[in-house]
Parts: sequence; C-alpha cells; structure tokens
Amino acid sequence: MASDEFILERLDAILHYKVSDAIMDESKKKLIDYNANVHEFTEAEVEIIANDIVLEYDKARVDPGEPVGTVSAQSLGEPGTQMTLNTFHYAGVAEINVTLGLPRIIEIVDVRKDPSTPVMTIALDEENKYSRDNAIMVARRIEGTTVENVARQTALDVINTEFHVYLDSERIEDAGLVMEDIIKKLKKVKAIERIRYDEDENTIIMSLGDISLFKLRRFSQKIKILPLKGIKGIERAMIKKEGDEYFVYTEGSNFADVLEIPGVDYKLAMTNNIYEIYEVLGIEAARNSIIEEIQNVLDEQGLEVDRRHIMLLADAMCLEGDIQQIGRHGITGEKASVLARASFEVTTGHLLEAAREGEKDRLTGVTENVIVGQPIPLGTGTVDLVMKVIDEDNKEA
Amino acid sequence: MDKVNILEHKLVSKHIILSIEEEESFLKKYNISRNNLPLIKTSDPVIKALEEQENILLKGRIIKIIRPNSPAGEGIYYRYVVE
Amino acid sequence: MNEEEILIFGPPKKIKEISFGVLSPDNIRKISVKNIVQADTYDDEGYPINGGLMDPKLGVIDPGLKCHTCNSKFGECQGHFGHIELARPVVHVGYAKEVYDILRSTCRECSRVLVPEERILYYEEKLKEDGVRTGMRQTIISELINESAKKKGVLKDNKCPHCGTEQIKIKFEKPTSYKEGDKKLTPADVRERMENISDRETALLGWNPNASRPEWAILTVLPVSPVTVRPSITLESGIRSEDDLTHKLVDIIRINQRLRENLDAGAPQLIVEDLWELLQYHVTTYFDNEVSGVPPARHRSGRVLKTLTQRLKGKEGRFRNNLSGKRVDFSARTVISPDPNISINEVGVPKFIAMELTIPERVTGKNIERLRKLVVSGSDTYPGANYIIRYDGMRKRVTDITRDILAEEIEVGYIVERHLLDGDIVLFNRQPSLHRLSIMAHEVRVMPYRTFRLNLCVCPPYNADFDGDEMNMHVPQTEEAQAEARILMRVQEQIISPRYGEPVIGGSQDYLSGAYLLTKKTTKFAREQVDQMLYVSSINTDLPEPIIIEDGVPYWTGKQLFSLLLPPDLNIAYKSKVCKKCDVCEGKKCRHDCYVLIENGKLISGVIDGSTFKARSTCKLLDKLVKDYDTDVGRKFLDSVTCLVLWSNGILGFSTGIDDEDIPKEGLDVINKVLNEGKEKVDKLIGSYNEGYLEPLPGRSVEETLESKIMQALAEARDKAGSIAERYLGMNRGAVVMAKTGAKGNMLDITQMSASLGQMSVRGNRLHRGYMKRSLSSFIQDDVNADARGFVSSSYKKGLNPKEFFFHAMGGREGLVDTAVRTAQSGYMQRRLMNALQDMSVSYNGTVCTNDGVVAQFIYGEDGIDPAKSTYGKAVDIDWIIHKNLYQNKEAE
Ligand SMILES: [Mg+2]
Ligand SMILES: [Zn+2]
Ligand SMILES: [Zn+2]
Ligand SMILES: [Zn+2]
Ligand SMILES: [Zn+2]
Repeated sequence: MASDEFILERLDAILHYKVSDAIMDESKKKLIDYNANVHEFTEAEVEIIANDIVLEYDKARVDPGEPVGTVSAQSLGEPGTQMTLNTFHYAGVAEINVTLGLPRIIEIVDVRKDPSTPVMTIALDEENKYSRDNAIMVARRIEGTTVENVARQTALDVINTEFHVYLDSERIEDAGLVMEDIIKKLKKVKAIERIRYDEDENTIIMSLGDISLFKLRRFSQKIKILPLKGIKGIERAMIKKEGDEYFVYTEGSNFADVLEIPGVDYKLAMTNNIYEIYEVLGIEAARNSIIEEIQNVLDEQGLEVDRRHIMLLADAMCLEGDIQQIGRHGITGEKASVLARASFEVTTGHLLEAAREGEKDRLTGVTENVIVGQPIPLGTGTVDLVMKVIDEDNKEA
Repeated sequence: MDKVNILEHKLVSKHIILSIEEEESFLKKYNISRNNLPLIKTSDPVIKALEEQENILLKGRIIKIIRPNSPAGEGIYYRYVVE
Repeated sequence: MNEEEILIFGPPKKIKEISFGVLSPDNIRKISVKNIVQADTYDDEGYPINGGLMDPKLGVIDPGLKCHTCNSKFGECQGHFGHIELARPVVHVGYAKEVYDILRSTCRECSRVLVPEERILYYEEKLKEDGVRTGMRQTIISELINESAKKKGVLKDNKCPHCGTEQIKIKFEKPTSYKEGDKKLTPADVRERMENISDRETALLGWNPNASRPEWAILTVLPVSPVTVRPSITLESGIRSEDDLTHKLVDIIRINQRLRENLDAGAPQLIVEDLWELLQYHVTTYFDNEVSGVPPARHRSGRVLKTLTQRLKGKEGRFRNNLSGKRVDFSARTVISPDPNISINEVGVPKFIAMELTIPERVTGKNIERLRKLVVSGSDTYPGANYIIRYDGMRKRVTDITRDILAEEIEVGYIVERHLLDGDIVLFNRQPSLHRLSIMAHEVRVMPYRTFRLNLCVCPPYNADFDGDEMNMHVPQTEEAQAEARILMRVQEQIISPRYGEPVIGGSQDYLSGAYLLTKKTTKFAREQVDQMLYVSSINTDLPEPIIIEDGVPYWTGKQLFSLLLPPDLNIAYKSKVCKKCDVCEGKKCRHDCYVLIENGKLISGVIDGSTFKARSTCKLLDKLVKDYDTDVGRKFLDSVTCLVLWSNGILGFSTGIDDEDIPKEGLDVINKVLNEGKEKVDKLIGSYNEGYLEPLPGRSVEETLESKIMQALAEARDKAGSIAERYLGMNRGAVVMAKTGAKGNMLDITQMSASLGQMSVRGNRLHRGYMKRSLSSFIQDDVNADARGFVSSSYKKGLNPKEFFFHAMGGREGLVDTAVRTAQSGYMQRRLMNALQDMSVSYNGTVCTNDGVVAQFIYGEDGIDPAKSTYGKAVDIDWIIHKNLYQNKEAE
C-alpha cells in the first residue's frame, strides 16, 4: 500500500514543472483524501495516476498559433448581446445604486476616469470593525458634511446683504461636529466681511458688505455646499454588518484620501474606480481590479466567461505601464500597422500620418493581410509548408 | 495607526526586483529583449515605494510579479521599468 | 497561374512590406503620363478629348478601346496617372495642421527649430532611443513642438536661439490659411520657408526625410487619378454621367486656367487672390468634402459630392467595405429548415445549389473513371461537372454538346470542376458572426427542395431558428483548405465552447422533455417498439435482457434503451435538473428519481433531462463524453439520442395546453387572498406614511422608503401566490415538464399564466410616468397604490383587464427598446475588442505575443490551458483520472 509520504514524494517528482501549482496542490489533496477514505492505492497505481495527470495536462494545453486574442474578444463581446442595460442595486447595500451590465463593461474598457457610479467598500481595522458605534464614527469621518446638511433653514437678508443659516443642533451632533468647527471653517471664506453667531436663535449670520443681489444669491449657493468635514467626492457613507464585521460603503469614491482615514483598514479598502486604483496602487493593482470588476458584472448577469479571457484583456490593456483604452485612443490607435489603424477609425488621418512619417507596414497582423489578400499569420497561417522539389537533373539525390 | 504602505494592499501583487544575473537568464530563457516586455513606469506607485524601500533606482530593471487568484494558483509576470 | 508557371516562378509571391510616403512634385510629374489642361471630358462625337480629363492615355473604361499608354484592353489596364500644373501653390488640407506646427516652431528667418542646439540633440536622442513603441513618437514630437512654439513665455525674449531674429506669433485660420501677426502668409510664402528646413530638423518635426518633405504638403502639381478610378457611366438615355471626382477635377482645371490667364495678363492683386482662394477651395474639397468650416462642394442637383476622403472613410468606405471585407465566389445563401434525421456534422444542401457550386478535383489514375462519368453526365444532371481545366489553364464549359468530347479528352493532370457530392466539406455561417462558432464546417448531404437543412442541436451556436432565418455556405476550393476545415472547423470539434468550456451544441426543447419521459421509471416498451427505436437511432448492439415481464410479454425500460448509447466503461453520478433540492439526497433511492447514476455504462437511476445534454448549460454527461472520450463519441451520442428521443416521443406523446395552467377553485381563492393581503399591506404602508409614522431607511427619503417597502410587499405577495400555484402544478402537466427539465420556459412563466403576473416595471421602478403624477388618466394624481402603479394581479389565463393590459404593454415595450439599443452598443464594443486583441496569439515557447513581438502573457492564462479543453476552467479533472485508472486496473484483473 502507498503511504501518504510516498504519494507526496512521487507527485512532487513527477508533476514538478509539468503542471501548475494549483493542479499540484489539488492532486496531493485529492489523492491523499482518496487513499484514506475510498480506496487504498498501490504504489504502482500512484505512479500511473501521476503520469496520467501530466499527460492529461499536456492534452489540455493551448496549441501554438492559437488566436487567443480573438477568442477572448469574442468571448467577451458575444455575451454583450445578452446583457441588460439596467442599473441595479448594489450587492452590498440596498441603498446604493451601481451601474452594471453592458454599460459598466463599456465603461471599463473605455477606461473612463469618472465612472458613472463610483462606490467604495471600506473595511475597518481591528479596533473598529466589531463595534457599530466605532464604525459609525469612521463613516462620519469619511462622509462629507456641508453647511446645508446641518441647517434647518437658510435665508437671505437682502437689505443688509446678509446670509442667515439656522442651525440644527441635532444634525450637528449627528455629523460629529462642534459649533467652533463650523465657524472656523466659515471664517476662512474670503467673501465674508463679518460673521456673527446668534445663540438664542442658534443662527449664524454672515455679512457680505455691499454686493449685488445676484452675487448674494450666488454666494449663498456656494456657502450651502461648503464642505465642513469629510472627504471630497464622497457623497454618502453607510455602514453594514457582514458576518461579525462592520464595513463602510460609500457613494462616490476618493481612494487616496480614504486610505489615510484613521480606523480604515487600508489594506482591504476597495473602490470600483479603476483609474483611481491605478493612480494610487499602480498598474498591477489596476490590472487585478479590471479583472475583478468585469468578472463581477458577468457573475451578476449570470454569464459564464472563462477567467483567462478576462485576464488577457486586462493584460493587453495594461501592457504599456498605464491603462490603455480598448479603442481609438488606446491599443488600436497605437498599433504598428498603418492599414490596421486606417481600417479601424479615422482612416485618412492614419494614412496621412503614415505618409509623413514614411512608415512601413510589415504586414504582421490580421487586418493588414486580409487587406492585401494573404493568409493571416495566426493558427495554421503561422506555419509554412515547405516541399522539397525533385530536381529533374539529379533524380538520385 | 500605521503609515499607509501600498505594497501591503490586497490588490497589489508581490513585486520582486530581479537581480542582474536573473535578468540575463530570464531574457535568455524566453529569447526576448527588454523592449518586448510589458512595461511599468518609474512613476508607478509600487515602483516608487520599492525604490524608497530598497533605496535604489529601478529604471531599466526588470520586475517579477507574483499574482494571486490565478487559474494556475500563482501567476508569474514580468515588467520592464521605463520612464 | 498554370502548372508550368508554378514550376518556373515557384509559389505565389508574398507581399512583405508596404511603404508609405508623400509624393514630391517631381515624382508626380514622373508618374504622370499626361499634363491635363482641358477642363472637358468628351467631344461631341463621344470621343475622349486629348489633354482632357478622360484622355485615352489615362486608361480605358470603354470595352473595345485600347489604352494609349500601355496598349492593353479594358479590364487589363489598371490606368495611369496624369497631372495638373497649378498656377499657384495651395495647401493640402490633410496636412494643414502639421504645416501650422512647423510654421510656429521654426524661425521665420533661418528656418531652424526654435530650441537651442542642446535641446535638439536631446530630442534626437529621445527619438532614437530603442524601445520607443508606436504612439510614444507622436508624444515626443508634440512635446518638441510645444517647447518651440511661438507663444508667450516659452521663447526667451521671443528671439530665435540660432540667429536672434525676433519671432512673430503665427495664427492658424482653419482650414487652410495662416497669418503671421497681421500679415497673411500665402502658400507660396509658407512653401519657401519650409524648403529651407534641414532634413535633420524636419525629422524632429515628424517628417521623415526619406519619405516626405514638409514643403510637399504645399501642392504645386496635382496628380490626376486614372480614369479607371473614376469611370463615367452612360445612362440609358445615352447621356454620359461623370464621376464625382471628375466633376471636382473639372472645377480645379477651370479655375486653374482662369488664374493662370489672369496672372499672365497682370490682373490686379485682388482678383488674383480671389481666384487663388477659389483654387484652394476646390483642391481642398477634392481631397475632403467634409472639412469643418468649408461649405461642401455640391453636384448640380444639390447632392454633396463624394470626394477622396469620403471614398475611404467609414463603414461604406473602401477600407471597411472592400478591403477588410470582401465579396467571394463559391458561396450560397438560402432559408434554413430543421432536419432531425441528419447528423450534427451534416448540412442539407438543395440539389440546385449542389449543381451550381463546384469542387475542383485533379484527375489522377485513381479517380479518372469516376470523374469521366461525372463529365459525361454533364452540368444539367446531378451528379455532374460544370467545367474541365486543361494543363495550360484553359477552361472549358461542360455542355450538352461538349460533354462526351470533353469526357474523352480528360486525362491525368486535368482538373474537373464537379458538383458537390455527399461528404464534401463546406463552411456554414449565420450572421451576426459574433464568435468563431458562427462559422463551422459541415459535411454536405444533397437533398431535394430549396432550403438548407440543419440538425437542431447546432442551432444554439448559430443562434438560429426557423422563422425565416437564412444562412450562407462557402465551398473551400483547395485540398489544404478542405483538410483544415475538416480537422479544425467540423461541428463535432466545436461542441465545447471556448468561452466557458461547456457544450454549446446539444439538445433543447423536445429532446429534453422527451428524454425525461423516456427514462422515467414508469416508461416501458414492447419488443417491436424497441426495434423501431434502435433502428432509427442506428444502435447496433445486442439487446439487453428485458427487465419487465408482464403476462409473459417482455418489456424494456427507457433507462435500458438509453444505456445503449453510453460507452461501457462510463461511471458518473450527478443530479438531474428536475431535482427538487431534497434536504438530504437519498442517492439512487431518491423518490423523485433525480439522482443520475451511471455504472459501467448502465443508467442505474435518475431521469435524463437538461443536466445531461442541454446546450449552453452545465451538462455533465455530454461534457464528459466529449472531453474524456472523444469528439466522435460525443457526436454519435447526440446523433443517436436525438433520434431515440424523437421516436419515443412519437410513441409516448407529449403535449401542452391551457389546462396545464388549471388551478382548482380553492387554490385560486388562496391566491386571491394572498394578493389581497399584499395590497392591504400596501394600504397600511401608505396610511402610516400619510400619518407621518413611516421611519425613513438610512440615507433615504421617506418617499423612497415608502416606494421600496411597497415594492417589497408586492413582490412578496406575488412570490407567495406563485408558490401556492406551484403546489398544484405537478409533473403530470406538459408545461411543468418542459419547465423542470429545462426544455423551455421556467416555473415563473407558468405561475404567471396560472396565478398572477405581478409587478410591471420600467427601468426597475414601478410604472409612474405617462400622465402628470399618475400612470393613467383614470387614476387620481399621486396615487401610489398597487393597482395605480402597474401591479397586475390577474393571470394570463384569467385574462388582463384593460388597465393591466396597458401596463403589461409598457413593461414589454422597455424590453424591445432595450434589445435595439443593446445590439448597437455591444456591436461597437465587439468591434473594438476585436481590433484591440486580434493580433495576439500563442507562440511556440508558450508566451502570448502581439504581432509587434511584445509579450502580453508569459504563459497563456498563467497555466497554459485552453479553456475549450479544460474541465470547468480547471486544467484536469483529477477525480476522473483517479477513477479512470482504477477502473482500467480492475478490468485488467
Ligand atoms: Mg429567427
Ligand atoms: Zn494602360
Ligand atoms: Zn533663426
Ligand atoms: Zn434530488
Ligand atoms: Zn432526492
């Protein structure tokens, strides 16, 4: 009978460098499990099975010349016709809407710097993640609060050119602010000539000097949305319990700033804004994020696409060290082939540029060769058949 | 609270600087030149963090990247550092 | 090319490279065969005018005439360029922006780039640096242009760093004029400046001196395209109609002549300038008739002319319509119809198509007799041949008169173009060709009538149905193409989708519900029925012992018959689709018979349904057969199982009708009660909202909270009603069998028919638009009740009242609009993805490379596994390998 040690030793020896780590690990686990619970292997059986795993692995390998790019493009494009156009509720919190389906995929491959619905999922550190109160505290630090948010009412005094803000003490407390903070913030606004706090009325009165009514109105609008605290770009923050941990979910995203907020576990904080990830965490993180985001949309739509296709797309987009768009201003726009570029978009522009630069099209791609009517250099087109011509004069040779 | 170290973020794969000898054997193994490699910019936050951590300049070097969540268990990738 | 030529010249020539460049005036004159001076085309007798735009030296467009340059006939001469000497230079619109860039970044006196020498060196170095990938170049060049541009703050003292001349800001007035300060720069001035720039510095500005000089962007000579490019057509009335380009050239020559005459006569500056500008306009629109800021040139009838740029651009342009996509010979198109009796590998080809499309077959000692017979039978009888081709490439039509003579004539080495025969390989395609499975290779099966016939299992990859769909067929002409098609593209090789590694070809609809009926516990067949079933499904194995014997008569179960389709060493277990998700699966003892267990190729327990061989789903059995046995095994299984099931369906009978949706009165009462309770709950919610008790959800307004709570309550009510209805919907109803086996529809559809439709929605919200603050004019404003916002409590069977019907149509309309928008959007995305990724392929060392040689992945997918060969994304199925080897061992013992 084969011992566990024998199985491990033989698998290590036979499978090493021949199969992926994932398969190696799985083989070990499965064989030992099987050995213990179902059938005791003989040593010969282990040898045979190990060799067969290598054989089967080799059978499943891609063939050289396989047009994997085209297959990826098709595998991602074809299900596009089956996707919905709707915006759906976020899987995490019912209150936050997030773009999914085809529009989201297009947004990702377009590398939009401002996705239509940026959201963040923020994990909290050890200290804060188990306590609801602490989680709310962190959420407040993140959520932006404006003057409008803490006011019961606002009013314009046209005669004295004053702007009155009637405060709501409860809301101030909810937002984790104190009066002094608000006044301090307001004092920094240059246009205000004088600032006064009426304790009886709980009102802040700002005098603006001699300005027109139009300006007064405009100014009041500006004050209303003056951020008192929180992070720029984040409109709402909510907490939600998952398992025994609390998470903060936000509408709006500001990845760089959120990482610095005390109480946030910066190692696990996430945003769906891929460009922000690129700027803050670099190209590799962006690549990982592209894969996760696309996978997420496909899963939600119940569409199956092999992960390898998505990986190839992501790697193609991140090839040059920054994220390149799928389209005119990205991968296609920078192809070496003049004809390939010209047949995609802005035809004459590419032809004129090519003439000016004296470019040469080496005809290495698909489109170029289709255009000139030659076999394409993929699949069976990567190999040439060389036939030995029998020399009539030297038949013996 | 600790200072933010982006190298420890979940999304950031492990970046390893190849030694000069490793670079040579790597290029030989795949029979390619540096210019045919995927790129990473010197302005990339990870490169900046690595440069600071190791106290060297990485322009022109090759970075080996170990990616988790791969169908293979661990995926291996290389990038050439450019400006 | 005929045999001898091939021997002499070797294989066909291959284009290795195409160079692009700008034509210099000298070159234009050199390639020109004629200086065109006449603005006219034909004289009164209809002959082309010498020196006119249709000069016979420019090529032939009339059959019967000969080219005056190369002396070849119409169709052989490709045409020759002429030229026009422009009286004054004009700017080429396509380069207007580049000309501006040069003007503003070079000195007005010494024509050098306005950066100091060391910066020139710096940029030169940067451009030379190897590893500058495409795209980077343009960035570097615009960097230099920005640095040297004559604008505020960039230049020190606004003086040239080389000669010290003070610079004046250049203004670009789109589309083609330039001003230096207030002084207008004529194209002649511009040209003079650019002539002085050294080759070294033009290179920095993006003009490769080997191919182009910036001054060539200012035209002094205009090439006249060959007449073959702009043929004139003769209308039925006998009037000649000229091509748009010819019209434009007429305008150019006319103005050019007037300008020259005026110049020669020493006309006032003003008139000359006007004419010059007019010449510029005509040349501009000749190149591009859609330049912004330039009124497009029009035909006499008011139609906008299609000039050079318009010919190339866009979907209907030369590139996308003629170069990337081409029309082909040897193809056919007709309506498709189903034929369950042919193999998935086959396609039924109408006889009249088989007689039109041919395959060239070279005559050898082995096939000469067969081919001779085909030639004798001629082109009008099937099977026959349409042409024979002699060694010298001479092609002869086989006609009634010539067929006997030609049959005599053929000998080894000839080629016979014979009709399609059964077994020939052809490519079959249905648009939109979204993935590679949209074109597959089929074997020909010649049939009567006028439609292509198709096995139903291959409908899913093509996304075909038979409501009038048409498909295309292509006949590969060379042995190499035929072999490739047969080995790589045959339908049976495509059963597993490369997208997700599961079958895309497989059963659907009746095949699945029928398989369920066939393999149900109670199904049994008598001897003659069994014989028929085995005959139609071409099963040639011995009949197993009958399991049931009643009154001395032997009966076979459906499970026994199904087992005959399986390989004898197959062992597999999985749950069938009809599984009720029992709390504890009792395995093969399951009451619902939903645990499929196959031991040594025998179906022991479980019913066969969607989870066994349904296309586009996880179907365990078919998947296993194809991946771990052979595509041949998979194909045979599909071919047989479909025939078997169809025949058993014929015996057992299967139907659905409106009584499938019947629910007894007590059931309906409960459903109504549940729905009413839901509505009451809504009323209560509205009540508490009106009284101000409703607590808003975090981050939501009270109204939003109310809305979401109402939706929740109604959805709950409908779900409850649905599940009550389901209690009455047993497997004795055809519709339920279809839904549960995965044949067609789902339980939601059936409960919508029998219990209640539920909430209609548009963009995920309840219906609220249409009239001001209400969905229909028969409701009061701001009514948020269930009925007022599109909740349909009726079922399809009961029928919808008018309001409900209208709400239903509102919801349905969204679906239609969505589909239309989606196809457009996803089509464009697909095109972009394709263009971005199509050049990547796996190299021999396992890396994925672009055609520029850049590595995109070091091992494809990081494990080098082809998704189409993987088992559910994993490289190998270890369980199966263990099982397989242990089984083989047992066998050996
Ligand atoms: Mg149809
Ligand atoms: Zn000619
Ligand atoms: Zn100068
Ligand atoms: Zn079950
Ligand atoms: Zn069960």
